[in-house]
Amino acid sequence: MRFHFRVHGNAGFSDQSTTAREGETLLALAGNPNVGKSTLFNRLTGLHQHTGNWPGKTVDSACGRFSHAGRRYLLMDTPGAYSLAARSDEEVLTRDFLCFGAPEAVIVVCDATCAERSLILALQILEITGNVIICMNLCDEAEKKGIFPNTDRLSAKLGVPVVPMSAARGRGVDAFLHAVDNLTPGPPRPISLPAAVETACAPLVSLLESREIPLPPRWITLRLLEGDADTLAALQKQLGVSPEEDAALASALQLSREILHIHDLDAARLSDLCAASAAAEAEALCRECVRKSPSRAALRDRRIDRVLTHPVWGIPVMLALLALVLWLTISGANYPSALLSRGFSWLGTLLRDVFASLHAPPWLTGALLDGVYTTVAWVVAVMLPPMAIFFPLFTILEDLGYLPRMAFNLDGSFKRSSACGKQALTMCMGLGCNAAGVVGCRIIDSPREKLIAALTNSFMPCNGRFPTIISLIALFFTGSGLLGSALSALLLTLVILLGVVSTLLASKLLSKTLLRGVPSSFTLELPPYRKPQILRVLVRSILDRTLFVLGRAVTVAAPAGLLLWLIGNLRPGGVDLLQALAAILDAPGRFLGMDGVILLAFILGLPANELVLPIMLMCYLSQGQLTEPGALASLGTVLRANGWTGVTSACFILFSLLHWPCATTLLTIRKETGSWRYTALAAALPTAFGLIACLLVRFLSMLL
Amino acid sequence: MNFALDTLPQGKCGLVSELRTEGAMRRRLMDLGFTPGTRIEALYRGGRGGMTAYLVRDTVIALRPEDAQTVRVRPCENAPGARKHIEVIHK
Repeated sequence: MRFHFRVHGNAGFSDQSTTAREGETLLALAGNPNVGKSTLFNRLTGLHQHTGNWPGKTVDSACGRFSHAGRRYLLMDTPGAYSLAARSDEEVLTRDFLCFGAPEAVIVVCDATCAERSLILALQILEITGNVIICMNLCDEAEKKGIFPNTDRLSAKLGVPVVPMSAARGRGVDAFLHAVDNLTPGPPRPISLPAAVETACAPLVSLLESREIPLPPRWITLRLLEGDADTLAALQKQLGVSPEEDAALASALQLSREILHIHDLDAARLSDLCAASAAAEAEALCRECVRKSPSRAALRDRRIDRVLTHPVWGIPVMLALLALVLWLTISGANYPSALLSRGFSWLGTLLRDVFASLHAPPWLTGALLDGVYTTVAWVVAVMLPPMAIFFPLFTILEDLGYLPRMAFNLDGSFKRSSACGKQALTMCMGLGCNAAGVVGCRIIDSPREKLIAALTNSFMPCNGRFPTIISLIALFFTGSGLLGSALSALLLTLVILLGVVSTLLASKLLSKTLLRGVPSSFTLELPPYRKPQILRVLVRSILDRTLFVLGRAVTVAAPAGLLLWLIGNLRPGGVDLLQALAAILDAPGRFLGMDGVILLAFILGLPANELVLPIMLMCYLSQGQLTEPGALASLGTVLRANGWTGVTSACFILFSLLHWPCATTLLTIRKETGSWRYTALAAALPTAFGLIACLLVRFLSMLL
Repeated sequence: MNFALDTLPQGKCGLVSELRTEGAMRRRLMDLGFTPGTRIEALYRGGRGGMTAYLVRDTVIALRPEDAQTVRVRPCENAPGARKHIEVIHK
């Protein structure tokens, strides 16, 4: 069967905002994954692209503007690539933009700590354009490791500016801007290949030279001779170069192939030669331009890795770290939660007084205060504190470089499910937002494994479900205080572990049925550990998360609150629609260990998981008011008054973890897979798991 | 003498002699620097059936055993460990 996964050909640079305006110079940022492209991008444009210490953080192009010395520039940040011989979706994006997006110059970011590997891509880019500036980034880190690149010598060798830089600390940015201002167009620099190959290229090169093609003839010739289907399709689509429709080209190609054949070379051998020559040239350059001296810093990483990737202890250490982060989140969120809840209740009373003094009609007060304000306040009070603590902590782990180690540790399990270890990375992104997790699946090369990762992403509790789960664990299973928060963290770790186990089970199920196949090859880079700039991370991440939660509250919770209040209070035809629907759903709800209101809240919460809790409350208190938004005690009173028990709560938590993804995630899955069928599957799969889990809990509780 | 990379003991190194895989994975490995003559050191092995991390061109790349099996290596002379490796480069 064919797996559909849309390749994001032109998506990144075809829309209006990314087109260079009059007088703007279009620059592209390119480089291996995780060399600091986005960091430099943020430095230059003042934007806040997310960065993290793992390969694949950026999967989509981003663009931003900056000006220097009276010139205006449009800068395009591309996803990291190891090569222009694109293999994964994000690499295709990068290849297409560099080759066919007509940037006026390419800024190649290299990693000074592994200059040799970085230069392989730089050399490949230099083959297509001479308008290149090389940023030798992470020079400070390299220095600590006893690696000293001689950028002047490298620049002389390559014929383009090479700027030493530490983008994270802003070092070298001025020199870089100076280089950008003084950029002079230069010829492309071919990678030297054996004489036999040059001879074979000659007929095609001379034919292509006579045509007006924006890419160097030798580069196109080599790609035509390599005959990679995907590259050929891109050449035809973007440049109209197609041997199938062009007799002269076809015969020149045939001639070149025959010459190759005489020298005992074929397409595959040629492709090897191209890759090996680039590597050999990078190696030779580094031998001349990079000085290495012994250092303990390089051994430090090995030592840390021996603990964090230990065959036996790796996974227990990972769980312990997760539990620690969750414990800090739960115990740290208590105080701001209480503060927010009191603040909202104070503001609510004040607003009510203001409305009363203005003699506002009851329907207006009801709609705005009981509907909009209460819902927004609940969403913010419950969601904000834990998320504003969890994510900065998680970002610190991310910046340290721990995430790829998690993928390393878990790959054995993913392989047994016929999936890809990189799925662990997309699951981590799913913790923030499942829609982002689904887009992140582009880092997985195999279309089948990418689909599995996308379809199972919602098994990870996202930002909108996580805090609700925390609240209910605290309410029904653990107390307050130190012991309570430790126990909560433990239970929450188990909930996430259940999500991971379900992901593996679902992946295995898919691999055995609809997406049959064997696990395919992949490589995983483990980047050096980096000391995160803790203060910056905290400020940035808390701000980001706060804006994210507040944004969701305004765009989703506010209109939903209004709508729900209207439905609950206007009573068209004298019927309370919410209560009527809840009554219909009561039987199936109770069968699953919950009730009609809970099930209705999950269904109406489709636009956003954050809404589930406020909808439940609004149904339970169709006439009453909730005075203290976010206050656990008042929440507990309401729930218990409506017949909630430990079993109800357990079933709610399980169903919250295991049910259909929110509408945004579903639409993202539709967009990424291009198929409504897979989208439906992505909704059905976790729901089926949830139904089974709830039934199990209910029947077990009946036995006990 | 030629052997599969996945049999390289932890801490030992080998020189790539050939890649016995085709298509995308072959190209990927070469782009990562697994080209003939390249020195590779086995750093650490994950759990049962899991990946192994290799040091190649100053980067750490993890491969599954079945993929490492396709990389054939020959022994390095006086195969040094990580610490010696750096000293050798220095000399």
